[in-house]
Amino acid sequence: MRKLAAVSTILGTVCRSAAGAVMLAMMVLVFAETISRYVFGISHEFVPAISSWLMVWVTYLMLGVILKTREHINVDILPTRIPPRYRTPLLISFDIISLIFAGLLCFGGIKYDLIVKQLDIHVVTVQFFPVWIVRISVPLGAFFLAFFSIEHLVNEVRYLVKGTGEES
Amino acid sequence: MLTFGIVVFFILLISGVPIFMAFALGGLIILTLHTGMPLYNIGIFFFDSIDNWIMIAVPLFILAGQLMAESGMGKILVDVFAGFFGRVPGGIAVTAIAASAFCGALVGSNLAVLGSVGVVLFPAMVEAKYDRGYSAGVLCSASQLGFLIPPSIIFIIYGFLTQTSVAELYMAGILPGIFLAAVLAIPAVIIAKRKGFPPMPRASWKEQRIRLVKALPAIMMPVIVLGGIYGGIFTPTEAAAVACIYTLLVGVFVYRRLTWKNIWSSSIESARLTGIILILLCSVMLMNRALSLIGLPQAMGDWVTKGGITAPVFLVSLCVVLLIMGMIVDAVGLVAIFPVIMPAIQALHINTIQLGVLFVVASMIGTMTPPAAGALYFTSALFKLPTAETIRGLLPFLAVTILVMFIFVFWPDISTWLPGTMFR
Repeated sequence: MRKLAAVSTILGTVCRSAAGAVMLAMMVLVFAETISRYVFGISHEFVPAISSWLMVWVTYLMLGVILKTREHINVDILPTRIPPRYRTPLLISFDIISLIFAGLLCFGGIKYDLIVKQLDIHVVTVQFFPVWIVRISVPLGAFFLAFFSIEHLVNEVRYLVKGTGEES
Repeated sequence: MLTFGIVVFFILLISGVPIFMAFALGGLIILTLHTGMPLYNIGIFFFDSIDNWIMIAVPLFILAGQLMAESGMGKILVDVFAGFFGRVPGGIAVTAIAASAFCGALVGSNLAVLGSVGVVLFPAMVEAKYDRGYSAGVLCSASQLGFLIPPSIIFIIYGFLTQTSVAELYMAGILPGIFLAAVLAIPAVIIAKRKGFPPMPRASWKEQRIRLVKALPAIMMPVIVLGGIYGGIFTPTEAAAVACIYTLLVGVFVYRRLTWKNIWSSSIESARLTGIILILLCSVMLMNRALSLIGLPQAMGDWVTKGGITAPVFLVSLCVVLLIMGMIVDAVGLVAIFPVIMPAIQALHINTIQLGVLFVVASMIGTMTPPAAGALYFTSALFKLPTAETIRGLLPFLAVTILVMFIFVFWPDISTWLPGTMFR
């Protein structure tokens, strides 16, 4: 349990830091392009594609972390109003649904990424960079989602069975 | 198959599963069972939906807002508006409304406005013996103006989903935003007069001039951002990046409040908000694709046309639906309704710009109406007040905002005149 918590903390920190860094990189890239186009009259075709890829990476790096803190938008009327003894089973069911979703997204992401890799697809404006590396963000994000769902699940099952640990 | 998908969606939604999963799984069931689409297509949807240049404005405006909140611009602007409006009855409340409206033009996020203006003015209101519930109510309702006054993040998402120009939507939000701010000041002044809340001390002209000079870099930001967009210098996405760098420079070199530590924390917080919004958007688009493929929007359009429903009746009904939906879902979840009702809107020749403004006002109200009332709970937590007390203080302002929304239904020109003039 302690190992799982430690890995979760490290993974959370890595994802958060990477997303923060990518965010700043996106800001600098778009700003540099604006200045370059407006001041020097030079436009770089690859900037729109690369900056939107960075945005996709930010989204998937944070997907699991947000689940870890249960901050995804939800209709929380039922979870906050049901008696405490039904709350943990409800949270367990959420985690199982999250796992199913993460599994589907991971499978879909990998399957599509393999197709892109096999066909060696490139974006016209960014010929120097293979698209499959960019698209790996989806299965990777799904993997993070699955990991944090498992962490929640383990915590809640322990809480339900032994009455120890924390209801997350 | 459709019924099964919709039932799964509603069960997941009501049970409290993250909304993005409810949309995605419901949409996926409809697509797979109805059209035979392979499951792995989710991998394509969840990348392609947000791989978009226009959408980059969302994270960048969020980042600009976070940086602004950290750079202390809120306090500086509050001082300026206190000089202008502080002498009227309930002067601090009116200052709060004016400062929130202006901060909305810098930040584009309601919670950031509340964080920067509210934190400064709530203690001042309490110290001046203003009622705590009233103070929280004024600040909560005024901070929502950030939704309406450009650069608004909700407008970008609405524009993206309904294929409406973000620049025109931004222009459309200005007059309704000013109008709503002015109308919100009416109950603020009436209540203050009745309860005898004092005005603020008078500021001398010299003092006010010093405040204005100090606030100039902050005041210049909307000028640069909106001027840049409408002057054809840059797109809304580029404007967002300029806003970030400008705030960064002003915060570091002029106001000297931004350090590497709070730049970094702003960046991580922006990444978190981006993750929440964009993943929801992916799943909303998946569900909309599913509903489009089975022809639901078209059926709705036909039903509206054949049923003889008029545009005002449709808009009033839509506002009521949005108000009800706003009680249970967030603004980004609320926008999901639009691609589905788009054919009906086109059939009735309703202006999507006017609709965008109505939607944003409905979203503002939604964040203040329980049970799902993010802004209301945030306000109560921020000022350490019981939610019931905040609600009591908020009620007059909420009523006024709802009234204004219905005024906007029957007065489309307030939303469409400015973009119509600018983009003719």
